[in-house]
Amino acid sequence: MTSAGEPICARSNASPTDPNLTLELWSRAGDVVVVRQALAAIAEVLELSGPDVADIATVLTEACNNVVVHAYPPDEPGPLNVEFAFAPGLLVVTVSDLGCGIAAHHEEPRAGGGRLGIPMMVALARSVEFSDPGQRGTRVQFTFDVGTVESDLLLDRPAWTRRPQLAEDHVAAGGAIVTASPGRLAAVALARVARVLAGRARFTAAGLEDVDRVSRQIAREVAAEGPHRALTCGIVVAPRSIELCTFARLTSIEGDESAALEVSNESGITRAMLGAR
Amino acid sequence: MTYQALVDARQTGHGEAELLARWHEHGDERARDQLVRMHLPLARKLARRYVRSSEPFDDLLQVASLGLLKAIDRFDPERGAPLRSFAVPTILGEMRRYFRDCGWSVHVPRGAQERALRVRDAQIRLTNELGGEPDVVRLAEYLEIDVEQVLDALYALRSYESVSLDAVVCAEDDESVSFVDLLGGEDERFELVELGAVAAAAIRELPRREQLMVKLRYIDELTQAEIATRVGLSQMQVSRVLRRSLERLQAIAQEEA
Repeated sequence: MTSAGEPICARSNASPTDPNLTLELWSRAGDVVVVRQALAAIAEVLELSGPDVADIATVLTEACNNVVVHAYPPDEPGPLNVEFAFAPGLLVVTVSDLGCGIAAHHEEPRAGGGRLGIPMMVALARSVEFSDPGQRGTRVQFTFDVGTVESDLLLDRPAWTRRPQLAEDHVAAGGAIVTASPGRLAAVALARVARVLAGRARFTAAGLEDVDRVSRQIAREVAAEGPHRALTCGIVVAPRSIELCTFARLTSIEGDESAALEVSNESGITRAMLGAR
Repeated sequence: MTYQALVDARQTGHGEAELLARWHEHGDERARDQLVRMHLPLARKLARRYVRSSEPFDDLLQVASLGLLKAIDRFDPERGAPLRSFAVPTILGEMRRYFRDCGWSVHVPRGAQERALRVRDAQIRLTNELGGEPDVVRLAEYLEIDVEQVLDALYALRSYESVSLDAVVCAEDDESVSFVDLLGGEDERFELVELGAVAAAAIRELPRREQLMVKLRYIDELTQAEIATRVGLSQMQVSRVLRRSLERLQAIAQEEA
């Protein structure tokens, strides 16, 4: 398996508007599923009702599909980033890309008639804000009403993370980078995202349970380092195996022989490699 | 009578057959009670498999006992198999029905629940047919649903039942039987037993080739791959034909019932 790279420390001074969950993905149809599964994790933590989740999922699916279909030239897909941030009573979701820009999205005629477009997103979200972050790319920010957000989920102080550098190649090749806090969101989010990627790598149900257990364990290890600690985990996907790269110590699962698991630790980066079973 | 004595009696076969005859033919309730006592350890063992779910053990044992009673009442000694082999799927069936109706430890929407159970069944079926656990993509192909739906179903099942498919059910017996063994093979035949005589008539209404394939699978107990070689189809096609045949048999049986 290719190297996860040298460790670098980043994002040490987050602000209260910092996202609780960030997904670094690629503009391909399969990654829209990853976004929806991450939303399912958010919904689980916020205890959202089914219809509310369905509304948000519809909007996010549409926004991400826009990126997949329109943001990049057909043969040159690029990054798809999604951020979820909690605020009192609100969930703020930002979908961004480094593609051809908002104008091109907007003017694109909607073929097929049956597809949903920007008016639908505007109707379902509390607010929608488009912005052109610069030379390249598009950024769309949605706000949804979600009722009470428990106080431990609101980042009242900076969360910091240590981020294993993960080459863009890995994300382009089917992987993802997940950054999340607090720990209880990180556990569910990492588990759900890793499960999708493992499913794509043809894992069995038993293999998925290994992935689930190790993901939650990683999140626990990181959360144990301190109350304002965010998890960053790079997920590298290969046929019938996935690798979770973090700075978590993972001593508690090294001896876990029930899983098809191999843990290695080099220059502080822990890499948990799981097989499909 | 001690438990060991009961086991001995069961192994010789006389005790059980005699008790069954006394209950079935003469309505001797004492014989039935004795049969229940004989097999209660089995019910307890199966109920224990679900202990990590949110249900209290007492309730689980009660459901398992109910399954045992049903098995004793419906068992047909003419079929030659021991009561135990019929009781296991009956008890598990009863427990699964119970969980289906009220046992979900977190709220899972109804449609998702049903899909989760279909995924669960497909998992067991394919595990038996392929001789190993199917991967997620294979499950999706088999059920003709999205991989995402399979993932959701498996995630929902996590909260429903934490028993591993490979968990050994009867470790203290000589033979170790895993959960998969019990649920899969026995289950299919159990369905056929329930269809009973109606099925026998219904099978004759199937096209020739399907009759043959059903016979090869459920009477001769060949694997789908073996059947595929014999009839010159792919294993996937055999799987589809069998599934369709079973559905058709069920429909015919229901019509006639």
